[in-house]
Parts: sequence; structure tokens; C-alpha cells
Amino acid sequence: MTRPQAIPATKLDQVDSFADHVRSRPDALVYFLCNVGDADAQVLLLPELGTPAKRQAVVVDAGRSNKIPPLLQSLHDQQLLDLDDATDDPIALVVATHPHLDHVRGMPELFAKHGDRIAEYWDPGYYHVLAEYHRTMLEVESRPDLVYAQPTSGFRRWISDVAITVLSPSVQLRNRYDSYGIEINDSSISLRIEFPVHRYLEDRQKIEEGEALSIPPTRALVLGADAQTTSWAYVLGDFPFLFKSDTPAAKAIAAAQGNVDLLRGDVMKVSHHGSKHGVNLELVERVNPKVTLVSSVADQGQFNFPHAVAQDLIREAIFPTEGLGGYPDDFDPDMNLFYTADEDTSGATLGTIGLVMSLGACSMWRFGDEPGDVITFGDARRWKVDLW
Amino acid sequence: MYQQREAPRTTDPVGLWEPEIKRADDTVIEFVPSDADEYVVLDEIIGDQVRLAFTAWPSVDEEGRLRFAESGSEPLPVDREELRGSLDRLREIERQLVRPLRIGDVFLVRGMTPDPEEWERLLDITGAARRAASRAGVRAVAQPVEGTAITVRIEDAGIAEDVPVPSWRRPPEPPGAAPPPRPPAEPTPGSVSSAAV
Repeated sequence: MTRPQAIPATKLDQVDSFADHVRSRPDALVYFLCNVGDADAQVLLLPELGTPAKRQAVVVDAGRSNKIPPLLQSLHDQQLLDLDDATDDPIALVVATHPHLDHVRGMPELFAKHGDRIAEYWDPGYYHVLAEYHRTMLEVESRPDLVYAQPTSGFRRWISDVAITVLSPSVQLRNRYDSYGIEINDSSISLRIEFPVHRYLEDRQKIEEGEALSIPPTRALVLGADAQTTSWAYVLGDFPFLFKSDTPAAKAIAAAQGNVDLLRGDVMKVSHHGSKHGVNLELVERVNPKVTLVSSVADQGQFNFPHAVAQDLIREAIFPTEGLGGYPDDFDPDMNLFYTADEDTSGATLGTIGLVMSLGACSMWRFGDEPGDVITFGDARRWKVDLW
Repeated sequence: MYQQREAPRTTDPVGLWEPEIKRADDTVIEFVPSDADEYVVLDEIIGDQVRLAFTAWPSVDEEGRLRFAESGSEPLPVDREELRGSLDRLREIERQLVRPLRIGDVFLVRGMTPDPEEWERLLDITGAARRAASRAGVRAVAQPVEGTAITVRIEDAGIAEDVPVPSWRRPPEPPGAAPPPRPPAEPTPGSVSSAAV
């Protein structure tokens, strides 16, 4: 176990308004990785769409009480999300990646406060004996209009101009839940979020003239939940990409996928709080993230997250040294590897990570909150250099 | 969005949950929980550390739903081997099965403190708790059965009889002589979509 590296305070400033910045970028997807300690709580504010233009939210895990509902309320208060809208489902989707306490502890509270605005709820279908599992399922049962699903790998869902692909659990794991055969972390729903995924119309004349169809570029996040080695092994098999081998078979598979690695992600939320069992080198190399994020405590956690070996593995994938390591002690921020437990060199907690992402730019904001604190937009500090 | 399933009846808690608790020899332990007891879940094991989650003992409603306090579970970090030692000792006192720790184990604990060695009494209720969780998952999302329309009587041989077939599932009568009737279908054990564990 090693601490996240201290970040020079001079790399952040507090001159801009976070809410104003989001308002000025209607095309941006806003991602919050909340500071909830060794737990997960994430909110995605989808790009504006429709007339009048509106944003919808997706919640992935609520690992602590009093974090997600106040954040949604702040977005509402700043007119970035309309929680009063009873017709357009402002919370399009809630995902409980798996029913461990550190991922569902705040789920009953989320339903109690905003359940009438939630359109759809996914969990992996892994029954767990926690009180929070019972209470959440009671909330689901009490809402007959709520769509409920247990998705497995390969399932795709389009919401707004965002495509959500379920990477795990593989259906091969799903069909073995009924015993103790599957470790609960390996039931995790991990997701790939791609945007903007616009429909496009072919120009018949250009096609007849032989002009190749150009597919618009996109950005993507890979949200790893707590999936571990077994689950990722299935993911690597379910989502193959063999283009680099240059064999006819590899080229054919790659061509069928549009020559895009289906695991590619500009942003990767590392699985299982930086556990040594949550990531492997090949996975991070396949995702090839520009920004890598870890949700964990600093050094007081019960399970010693983030594990030093996992940190080194991530660094090797991002900045290969042929396994020699030897990274400088202040190198993580330079390779865009950040932790919710980050502190700056003055000892100030950096807390929840907010990314405002569009095709051409990605700004990072830190909200200074401790795990038990409510996120306050007015406390946001902006990373001076955009991440792309 | 259109309605996905039928709305549930509103049911109130009728008392504390009284799970069936068995010894290793399969005999039943007569025990009445009290509202001072705790519902303790082994939520996570990593290396030599275990995360327990504990909450007040649940009530049960008229349809068998467990009703837990709104305050929710509190995590309790414990050392794996120390917990194992305490559990072995307390299980032996109750003549319950002594077995390795597993995620998803559930205990009724009387005299809860942060130190398992100080617990006054422990009863392993894992089986009953897993069945309750399984039912909670299915009950929440599956359509309720209508009254007595599907009453399956299972005889010793496990054969279902007297199952009324809805008219919309009945094939049309064939012309001419009727074929010999098919034997009744055997009931199948539950799948991942049913309450089987």
C-alpha cells in the first residue's frame, strides 16, 4: 500500500465557477467520482438533448449515504438537472454494480428521496443478505413503473446521445450465481460509456463516388466497478481485439468492430479501489486511458487500498518501462492518475473528482470534500491544464 | 414508462423475524429473537481482514418480507482469524456446523460489541437469510401469482396435478380422434429467476 502522491497546490486554481462552466458546455458529459472512501458513488450528467434542451443523469453505485442525493439536488438547484420534471425521467438509470455494502449503502436513501424520478434500475441479479439489498428491493417492488434489468456482457443501451455497453458480468458468470461459485465482486456490472453517439445519414452521391463513410469520433469511459481477475478474463474474451497481430483473422475481427478496440476508454475508473485483484496489465493496456481514476481512502483503509502492486501495474500500462519501474515520486499527476483520496502539497483534501468532457476538451475539477461531506460546487478547484 | 408489474399490497410488519435455526445434526434450535439482537452479515473478506455489516434485528411483514431499520447497516472491521476463532467457539456451544468463513454468512448476535470474543450468543442463520434474500429479489420484480389460479399439488413422486391451464395456452382441438393424453409435466426446481438458492 502506498499513499496517493501529493499534488502541487499550484496545479489547481479556484477562479472559475464549476456550474457556469458546465452550463457553457451543453455538449459535455459531466462525470463525478465522489469521494466516499473505500467505496463507489458515481454520477454522470449526460449532454443536453431535446427541445427544450435538458440533461439526464445516470447514477452508478451509492456506496455511502448523504452523498448522491445532495449532489443531484445541487445539480437541480443550479438548473443543470430538472428533478421536478415528472415526465422525462431526469434520472434515466441507476446501476447497483453489485450488492456489497460499500456500493449500495446509500441506495435505499436514493430511492426514498428521488425514486419517483428514476426510470430504470439495473443490478447483477446477485442476491445478497445485506439489509440494504432487502430495502432496495422493497423500493423496486413498490414502484411498478420502474424498469428493472439484470444485464450481462454485450448488452447495449442508448440514452440521450450516450451508448452504454455492459462489459461484465459475462453471462457465463451470471448463470453460476445460484451457488457460492461466483465471488460477489465478480458479479459486478462494469460499463463502457461512449458519447456522442449520433445517428448520421449517408450521402448517397458521395458513396456512389466511392468516398469512404467517415464515422464521427467519440469519447469513452470504462467504469470498472469491483470486477476482479475472473470477470476481466471473460471481458477480454467477450470483447476481442486482435488488430495488432496483423494476421488475416485479427484483421477480420478488428474490421468487424470498425477497427476500434471495444475496450478503448479515454477515462478509466479503476476496479475495486485499486485492489491488486481488480486490474491487470493487459486490461489497462487495452483500455489505454488518458485519465485513470481510483476511488479509495489514502492510507487508513481496512484493506490497504490502493495496493502498491496495482499502482505500479497501472503506471507500467500507461508509461511502459519494460517492467523496470522507477517512477518519480511525483509522477502520478503527470500521467493523469488521480485518486479521490488525493491531497495537495499543503495537506488539503482534493476529494470528489469532476470531469467535464466533450470531444475536444476535458477539464478536471476537485471539490475538496471528505467522504462524509456534501459536495459543494462553490468549493471546486479547477486543474489548470485540460486533460485533453 | 408503461407499468412493468403489478403494484404490491401494502403490508405492515407483524413481528420480529423468526428464522428456522438448525444444529449440525439438523435438529431445530428453539429461539425467540428480541429487538436487542443484531443481524450481522459477513460482507467482505480480503486477505486477513473481514468487513462485517450489522443492523438491528429485522421485522417481517404479512407476506414474508424482511423489514430492516431505516438507519441502515454499519460496517465493522475485524481480523479474519480472530473472528474465525470466536465463531468456531460460539458455533460449538450451539452445536451448529463449524465451517470456514464465507462472504454472505449471516448471524444473529446477542450482546453485540465490536469484539466478537465478547458476544454473548451467536446463531448461524445463513441458510434462512439466503433464502430470504433470494425471495426478496424475485418478489420485487416478478409478477405475483393470481389467487388460486395456479395451485400445484405435488405428490410423493413429484408430479404436478390439477394445474388449470389458461385458455390462451390451450392448443386447438384436433380434428378426428383425439391423441393419447401426454403425461403431466414434472415440476422443475427453481432457476436463477426463481427463489431457489
